[in-house]
Parts: sequence; structure tokens; C-alpha cells
Amino acid sequence: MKYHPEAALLESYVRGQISAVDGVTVTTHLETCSSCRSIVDKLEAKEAQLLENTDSEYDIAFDAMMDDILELPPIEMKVSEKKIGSIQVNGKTFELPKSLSRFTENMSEWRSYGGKVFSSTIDLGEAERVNLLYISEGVQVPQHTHKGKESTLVLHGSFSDEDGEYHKGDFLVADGSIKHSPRTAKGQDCLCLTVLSEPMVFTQGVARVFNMFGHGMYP
Amino acid sequence: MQSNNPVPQSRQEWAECMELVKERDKEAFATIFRFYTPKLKQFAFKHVGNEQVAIEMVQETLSTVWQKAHLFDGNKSALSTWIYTIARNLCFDMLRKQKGKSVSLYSEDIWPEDYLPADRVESYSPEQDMLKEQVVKFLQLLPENQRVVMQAVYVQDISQQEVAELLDIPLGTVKSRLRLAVEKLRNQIRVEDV
Repeated sequence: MKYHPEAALLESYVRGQISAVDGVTVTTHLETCSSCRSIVDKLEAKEAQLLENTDSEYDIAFDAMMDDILELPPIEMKVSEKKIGSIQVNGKTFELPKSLSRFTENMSEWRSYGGKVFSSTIDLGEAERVNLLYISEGVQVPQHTHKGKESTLVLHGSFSDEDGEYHKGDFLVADGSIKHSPRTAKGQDCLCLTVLSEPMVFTQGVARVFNMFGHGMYP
Repeated sequence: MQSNNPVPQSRQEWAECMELVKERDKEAFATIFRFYTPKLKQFAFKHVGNEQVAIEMVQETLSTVWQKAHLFDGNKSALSTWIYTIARNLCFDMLRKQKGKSVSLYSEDIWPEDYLPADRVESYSPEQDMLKEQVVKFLQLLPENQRVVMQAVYVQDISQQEVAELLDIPLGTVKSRLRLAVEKLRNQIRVEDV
């Protein structure tokens, strides 16, 4: 794993100032990335230190609140089996990350693009467009660019583009200025989570027709 | 309630204070409450921008500290970090609720809590953990060789060295099976409010 969220994104994650969808993407990356996990742990400790060091004086009026709280019983917790969701696409089954397992019912039917690229939209009720994107082996996706921002997290397998090769756990952010054409190698498919703030615009090839359909015909 | 307890000065002292809170010690809770209330109020106000809502957040945060004290693990994090994350998550959900949209993503989806730290197997001590009995029920989810090691170390309290000798396997193998077992359990079980 070589590609990680930028420091600023991890910071906004730790401070709770991240958008909900970016938060889900980051936590999915953290499931497989112990180095970002340890950065997050350190940042949390730092924020906690700031909280602890806040200059303050206790207001006796809060004693009433304390008395109320002390009346409350402990909350018992139960332990149950956690369901790991899975998805089927192109005749294959993939386990979902823990972070997405709760949302299998929010995932649309897979749309096929020429039987080579498949996408399923995850409806999380947010403004961003969230997709699972499956690219079968040996496929070249037409060059495209984005309006807005696209985040990609590799969940299984790998793909590459003009800038590099991306493997499970890798986290990429592309903005509108980047034109790229992802491809998968022979014998190597790829499942990604993608988050788009606005639909893609294709700049080359047959795929340009997708643009004519307006909103997000293509993931 | 008057509390004459001195304010804890170190991570260790705060953790000891929390151990008393776990036993429902009101004085110990008062120490935490008086220390954190004004700080949390400033913190929450910065997030939610409203005095009344900020006070609600303080109340929610400290209620959680009192009611879920048994989930605090002093080996895993400092008390300040635990309280910070509780307050952050409550403020996050509150802010989204305030914006009035129907929400399907919650703080627990974004900052999930794991009660079985895989990287801390060495210091993991479920005998101090209220959840131990319940976790034991899930040992059947493990492959045989991992289950045997987990059972010996965590249920029968046999030392890792002794387990290695009993099973006639290297100590490193005992450790790696424990690590795999904890990782697997962590992936397969979740802890939730009843």
C-alpha cells in the first residue's frame, strides 16, 4: 500500500469536521492501514490533550446535572456476531469491508458496461455519489476527467493509470484537472469504492456518449 | 456533593480514577465531572455554536462516561482521548441532526469502536472485561487450533509459555494463533447497546 489519505483529511477525520461520506472512506482505509491508524491515534491523543488543557473553571451550577447523571444505571452491552457483507459481481463473490457491511441493502443492482466494467450505487443519503466499481481483468477504461472531486479506494485486486499502480487499501483523490484512464492487467481484476462529488465527463472515445445522458450514467 | 479528592495528574492516575468509577464510586465520578464539564462545554460550543445545545452535549458525554464506564480500557487509551472521542462523535451526530436531513450515516459508522484490540494481545486482559463471558460464547467461530489456545490462555488462565509446553508448539506459534484469533473475533463480533 503506497497511497494514503492526505494529512489534512486525517486531521479533519480526527476533529469530526469531515463529511460523512469521506469519513466512511477514511475509516475503510483505516481497516487495512495500520500506519494511518497510528497517525489517527496520535492525532486523537493530541486533540484530547488540547481538550484536557483548556483553561476553565468549574461552575457550581453544573452540580444539578451531575446529580441527574449519577441516578442513571449502567448501560449493559451485548456481544453479537458481526455480519460481514458480501457482494456478487461478474460471477465472483467479494467480502465487503466492515465499514460497508451494514449497507448491502442500500446497494443498487449492478449495471454492466459492455460486460467489462460494472457499477453499483450505494445510497447513503448524502450529496456525493458513492459507487462500488468493478473492473474485470485486462480492461482499459476510456480516458475521462471529473467535475469536482473523485476519491477511489481499492478494495480488492489492483489497477493502474498514467500515474501509477494501485493495490488493495490504496486511497486516491483526483480533482477536475486530472485526466486519467484506469486499466487492469491481464488476470487481475479490481473492485473499488469511488466517491464522486459530481459525475464524470469523458474526454475521449466512444464513452463520450455517456456524457449525453447527463447525470452519472457512468459511475 | 463535596469532593476533596485531588485532581489526578497523570494518565495513570486518571485511569485509576476510572477504575473507581467502574465500581460506581460517585466521588471519583465527581472528580472527572468537575474537571471536564467546563472544558467540554467550550469544546461543544465551538462545534455546535449554541449554548443550550453545548450543555446538552456535555450532559450526554458525561452520562456516557458514567453509564459505559466498563467499556473504558486504560491500556488502550488515555481517559482524555476516550472522553474526546465520545464528545466528538456526539457533536458530529448532533450537527447533522440539526441540519434537519434524514441521516443514515452515524458517527459509529465513521469512528467504529473495537473492543478487542488485535495489536495489543499481549496486554489484553479479558478477565477484567465485563464482556468476557459473552466473548467466550463466540470462540466456536474460531478454527480448532486457535480456539484451543484462546481457551487455555483466556478462559483457563494458563500462561502462554505453559500453553506452548502443553501443546508442544513454539511460544511464537501460541502468540501468532492468539493474534489471529483476536483479529478474527474482532472482525466477527460487535458490541452494542442492549
